[in-house]
Amino acid sequence: MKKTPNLKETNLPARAGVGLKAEHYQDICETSPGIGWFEVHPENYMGAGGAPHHYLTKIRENYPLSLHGVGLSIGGSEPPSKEHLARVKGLVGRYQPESFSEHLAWSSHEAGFFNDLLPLPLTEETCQTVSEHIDHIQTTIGQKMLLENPSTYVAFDRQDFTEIEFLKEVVKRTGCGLLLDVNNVFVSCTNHEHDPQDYIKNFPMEAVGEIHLGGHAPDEDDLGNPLLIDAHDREVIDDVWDLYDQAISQKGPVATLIEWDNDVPTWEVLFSEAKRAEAVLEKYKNQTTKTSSETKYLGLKERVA
Amino acid sequence: MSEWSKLQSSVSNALEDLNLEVPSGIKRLKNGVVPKKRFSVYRNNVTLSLISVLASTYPVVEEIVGDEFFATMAREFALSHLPQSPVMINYGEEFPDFLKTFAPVKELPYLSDVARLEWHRNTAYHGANASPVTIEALGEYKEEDVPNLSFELHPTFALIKSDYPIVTIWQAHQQDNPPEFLKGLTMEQGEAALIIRPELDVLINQVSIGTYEFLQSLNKGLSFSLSVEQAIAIEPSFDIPANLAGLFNLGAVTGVNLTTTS
Repeated sequence: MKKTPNLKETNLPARAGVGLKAEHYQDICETSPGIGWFEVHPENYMGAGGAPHHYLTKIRENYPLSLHGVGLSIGGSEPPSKEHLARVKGLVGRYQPESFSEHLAWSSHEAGFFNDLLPLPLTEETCQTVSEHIDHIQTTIGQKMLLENPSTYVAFDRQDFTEIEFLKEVVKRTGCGLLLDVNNVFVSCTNHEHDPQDYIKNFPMEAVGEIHLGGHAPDEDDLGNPLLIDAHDREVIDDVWDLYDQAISQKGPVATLIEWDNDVPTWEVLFSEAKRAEAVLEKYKNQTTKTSSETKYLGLKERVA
Repeated sequence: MSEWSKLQSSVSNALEDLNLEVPSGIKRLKNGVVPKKRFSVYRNNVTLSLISVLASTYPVVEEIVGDEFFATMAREFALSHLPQSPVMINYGEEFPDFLKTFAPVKELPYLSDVARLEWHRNTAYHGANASPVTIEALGEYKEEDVPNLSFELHPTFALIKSDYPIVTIWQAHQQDNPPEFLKGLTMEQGEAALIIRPELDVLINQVSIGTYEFLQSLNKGLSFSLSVEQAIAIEPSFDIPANLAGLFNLGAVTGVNLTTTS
């Protein structure tokens, strides 16, 4: 696969942002909060007109914007839907976002769209199809995209790569960047009994263009072991804040999003979570970051034989 | 068929059909324990997320039947009507029809029409924008041409008619105490409404049967005079000037054209 030249780069400010919710349109327009940027799911702005476009247009005039897709089904065996990709392209053209991102997951199959981020086996085959899909998306929208590490609850028998190796390989093949979801790291590592700090340590930070933080719900699996569920319905827990601190100490300040999609809180509560992230970014602002010369090659060992 | 494509199909089937086992290819837990509960997180996510989409499109239906019953009903709908696109604002158009045939709500014959009203509301909320013209636009035409004018209506313009008082029911559920609001209401009383979103807010206006016929005719592209005839036929006291002014004042007219034949 040839990397497409002349793609627009991801360019979010190294500040805290939040997911834009309809519940907060008024608050934001009335108070013009000092927040770094906003993120939306493009799927929520695929109507022809009305309030969503009205407010997004107003807010976009004053803030950097990230489009974070949930519908392209990059991890599926079939290429992303032409119609859906055309809609995404239309929104990218209309709003000129500083970033476009999607998930290492699938959501559509012959039966239809499942409205969830579903898991895929990390194999040579899926590495190739995911890379082809990303290449196709980037070429179509004319912009580099970020690929997000998922929250997963099951694993597959066949696995040719660790998640980190898989992501690195996709980056190498497509030139895309990565969206490091620190909550997903905590959720997946807990669910599959990996060490989340090790995961962050080995993550290819040079490819990271954005970080996500969010809340999760604790549960138990079939054997009574902890099973965490990525719920985006509450505050970020301290363990995740600690991992975030570790990530920023490795990477240096980078655009960071608070995701809170369900049981949406008041604007003040959401904004105060963003301020907490901003404080971490501030803390590492003047610190020279450890570039990953030492960690860069560690990942090779992780490759499952 | 590739290996992943086959496996994806079996995962996909197991998400839709809750009686199916966790597909082989998904890693077993210690001692070969099938990760049923882990897999069910995905099943739950799919159904709960679709229930929540339906609840946000149909809040009045949800309030009428209660959260728990709504969830049961919406789950059954979702499993037989998977979205065909990732655009969730377009999901659930068949829900009103589903309610018509869903036996447990047979006692609530108006529910399906209330849902239809809510679907129109959702469609209008996300519909295209357009600039209305004022009634002064009529002044550009000779008086004798006015009967032959036809009106372009706003893209979010929609009409609904029911054998039940669905507009009053809908309005009651915008209040703090719906049962109080609905006291003494006869369920056999039919109602009609105009749904439109001239600016940012969706307006739901109850209209008389004459106005309904008038608007329905205009919406079909009939001339002003023919539309008035339809209205008067069903409602002899139909107030022409008030209806004409009302239509323009609402911002429902986006263009005026002279039809060649009357």
